[in-house]
Amino acid sequence: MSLEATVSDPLIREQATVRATTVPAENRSGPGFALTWAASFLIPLAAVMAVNILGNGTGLFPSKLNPAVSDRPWKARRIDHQARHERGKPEVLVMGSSRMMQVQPPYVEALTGHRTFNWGVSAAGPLDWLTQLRYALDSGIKPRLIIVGVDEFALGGNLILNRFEIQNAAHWGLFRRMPFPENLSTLANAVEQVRLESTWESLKILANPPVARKRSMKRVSYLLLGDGYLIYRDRVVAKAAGTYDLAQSIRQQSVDWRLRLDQVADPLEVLRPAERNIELFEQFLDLARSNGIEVRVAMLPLHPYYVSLTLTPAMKRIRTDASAILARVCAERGFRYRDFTSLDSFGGSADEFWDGAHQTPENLRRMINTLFDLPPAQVVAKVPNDFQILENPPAVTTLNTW
Amino acid sequence: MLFNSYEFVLLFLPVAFGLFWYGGRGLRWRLGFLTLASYVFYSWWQFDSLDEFARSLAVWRPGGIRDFFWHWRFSLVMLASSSVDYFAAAAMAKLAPERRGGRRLLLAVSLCANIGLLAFFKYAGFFSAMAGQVWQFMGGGPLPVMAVVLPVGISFYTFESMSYVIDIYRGVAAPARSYLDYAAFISFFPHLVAGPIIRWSDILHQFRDEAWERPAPDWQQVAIGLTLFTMGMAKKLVIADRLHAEMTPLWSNFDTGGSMGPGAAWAAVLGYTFRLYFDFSGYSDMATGLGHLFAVRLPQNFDSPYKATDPSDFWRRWHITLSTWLRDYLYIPLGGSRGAKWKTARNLVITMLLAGLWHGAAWLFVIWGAWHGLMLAGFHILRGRGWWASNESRVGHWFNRQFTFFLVVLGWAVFRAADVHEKGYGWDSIRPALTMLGQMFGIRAAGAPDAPQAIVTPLLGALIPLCWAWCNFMPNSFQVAYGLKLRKRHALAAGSAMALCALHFGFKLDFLYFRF
Repeated sequence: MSLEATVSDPLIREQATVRATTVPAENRSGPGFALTWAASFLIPLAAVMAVNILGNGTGLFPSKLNPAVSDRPWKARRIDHQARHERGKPEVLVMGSSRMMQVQPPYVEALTGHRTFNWGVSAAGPLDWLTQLRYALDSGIKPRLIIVGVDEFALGGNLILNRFEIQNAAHWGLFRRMPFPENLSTLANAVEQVRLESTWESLKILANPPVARKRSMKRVSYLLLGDGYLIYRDRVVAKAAGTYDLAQSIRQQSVDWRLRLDQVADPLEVLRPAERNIELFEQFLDLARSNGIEVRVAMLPLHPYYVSLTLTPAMKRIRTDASAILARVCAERGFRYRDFTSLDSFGGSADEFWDGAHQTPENLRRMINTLFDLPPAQVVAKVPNDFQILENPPAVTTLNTW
Repeated sequence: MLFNSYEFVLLFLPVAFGLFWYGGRGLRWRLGFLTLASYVFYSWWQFDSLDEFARSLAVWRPGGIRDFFWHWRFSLVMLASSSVDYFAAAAMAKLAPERRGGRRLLLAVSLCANIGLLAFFKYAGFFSAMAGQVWQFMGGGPLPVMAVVLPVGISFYTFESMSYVIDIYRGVAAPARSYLDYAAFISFFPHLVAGPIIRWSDILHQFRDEAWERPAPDWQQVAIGLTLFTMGMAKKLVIADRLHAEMTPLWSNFDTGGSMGPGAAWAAVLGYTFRLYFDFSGYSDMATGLGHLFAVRLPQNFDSPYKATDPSDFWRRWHITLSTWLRDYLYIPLGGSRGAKWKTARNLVITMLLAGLWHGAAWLFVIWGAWHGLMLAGFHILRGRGWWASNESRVGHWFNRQFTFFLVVLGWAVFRAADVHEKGYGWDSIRPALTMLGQMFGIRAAGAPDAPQAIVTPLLGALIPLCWAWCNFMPNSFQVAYGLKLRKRHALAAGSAMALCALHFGFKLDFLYFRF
């Protein structure tokens, strides 16, 4: 190798060294520059954060002026309010994802004889259940029974698939009871949502605070009732009109699912039960047991057509593995576990679905019956269906409450 | 970890700065701490959350060792790479100069390890696809293409590591005094993932400099560092990312088969031209600024490249540390310009082809490199014959500058297609670049289907001339940071700009050069 080069080399230039930084003593900066820089960075940033927290333009902060209306903070406020001012403390809690939100509290009340609250929240996992139970116990709500519906991949450890945990930041009581270090990650995610747009939105709210929440039924696609029960208004209306296309809904959901999985390098890795989530689930069960609370756990079914479109053999194996883990951890603590992934296991019907994953109240009723060792067909109590509720909505819903 | 994130700006940086300067005074502490901090910084990409990070360290749990290796795998690759080079160089330094065979063997071991690492992580897909095409041409069936996840920054740190061993072999640099010196040099977090590509000789003396023996930072250096860091952050978040947002509809339309008129095509390519500059030079400014906070002066990587008046001048101003690396370790050993003119041209083309390949394993990068090689060779010949306009007159200077810019922009049209279609290893992957170049000049492929036309947003229409004016008339970050008498009012402006930048952290757009 040659070390020499001639000056005519087109690529030759003098070595990329740093320019001389000798600065005359009188021009040299002291720590004042760095301190001023830090102050002028942090003080405006803190002011912007304060505006966002108070005005809550993102809906992710526990603002008293403008409380968030996503399902986690809303339901936490509702359960509190119900316990203190309405029906008293619930004795049965229904937990799970949106797939459990159509378990009808009045039906469970008839079945168990105890006040029931549906505390299902979107895309819930062990982190949510542990947080919710800690919050309930600290608030003086000590249920006799908790029914938990588990999604097949709820034990997977992927944040991309579950962006909903961030909602816990919007309720101070929930946020304080999140386990460490998940609370830090959630806080960091919430803070990152503070942007110019959210600051402007928050400023507008602070300048002109909304006095009452009053929304029109026609402008909502779903509705939460005071007992936590969910109604898919659009779907109910379409089904009543005979225009609801279940197959199309399943196909669309399958496409969405695959698009979400495309965002991650190794989809199977993120769907596989994560040790941390198993640990959180065990903590949840242990906390319940140490407080004398009975827990009944069920793995939820998917629509067979959706399964055929979406789940690969490897994904099905993950579902089986997750079910085995749930069976083991429940058995170790003396809790009941049922695997409802097959519709036959609870007399479910493929027609009683809204899409690939969400069952109608009828299928959920049969599932709950089976969980209580009753025949699926038996109707313990007649409760109004969604269409009847929509025709005559109760006093407290997401239409008129913060 | 991204520079443009809260965890970096509010947690990692203050903690690292505070502990580095005030946690201990000894050289070993500072080198050791900096290395550890850099490894944490580098490994952060492997974690989705803090709990994953904490659990990866709990090796005593069942499956803990497996988790540790999985999450820290890329750090371990870096550690292994730097270890091979450190020990090869140390052994080489112990051998007497006359034992050329032994020294060559050690050099070969080190180079094979580095090039092998690059070949596996970066080029396995490319070469397996090529082998598959040859196999199919010979009548065989389709072969699978290898897909390997590229560790962030591997192209940068392997080049740094290689330069160290070559310098020791050549006898132009002293070997590192300890493994810690070397590990700190390779892993130093500001330059780790996207350069500047530093040389051991740039850093060697700085670890033993009086600045490192001080009990507290040199606040003048900190002021320069904070100014550069803020300017880099603003270039990235306020300009480059805004350009990206405005260009996205144009490029999305193009990438999904839509067509563009010449105006939109030029807007898209010019937008990319400026985005690439502000993004990459913004990163380099931040890296250099962060270096100052730790009393390490990193080399300048950009020197107003769009003010270049010829292709050679462009490479003296653009990604300077890569061009000087290629010059010293490739172009000159090939013979430089010492032979016949055709040999000089050949050497230039070979050097730039490899510069293209350094960016990624795709034919389009090779074509982009070839384009720059031809530009340099052509310029060399034209200048030799006196056919390149002189810079002495104002008109000549501006003509040269804009003509060079025009040539560079054509190259970026190809580069952008390569950037997006990097995984398209086949010849078909060249089509997007040809289509874009055609659309820039109003040429549409025969039989091309009608597709939705892209529209230039008013903001993009305004940003492009503003960026052009900035690049042509404004001083660069180094001229500002070193030229200004830094006062508190500048700190106030920089700190406020940083607060504004922080409101863009949530978008989490990677730096473009992270993928190379």
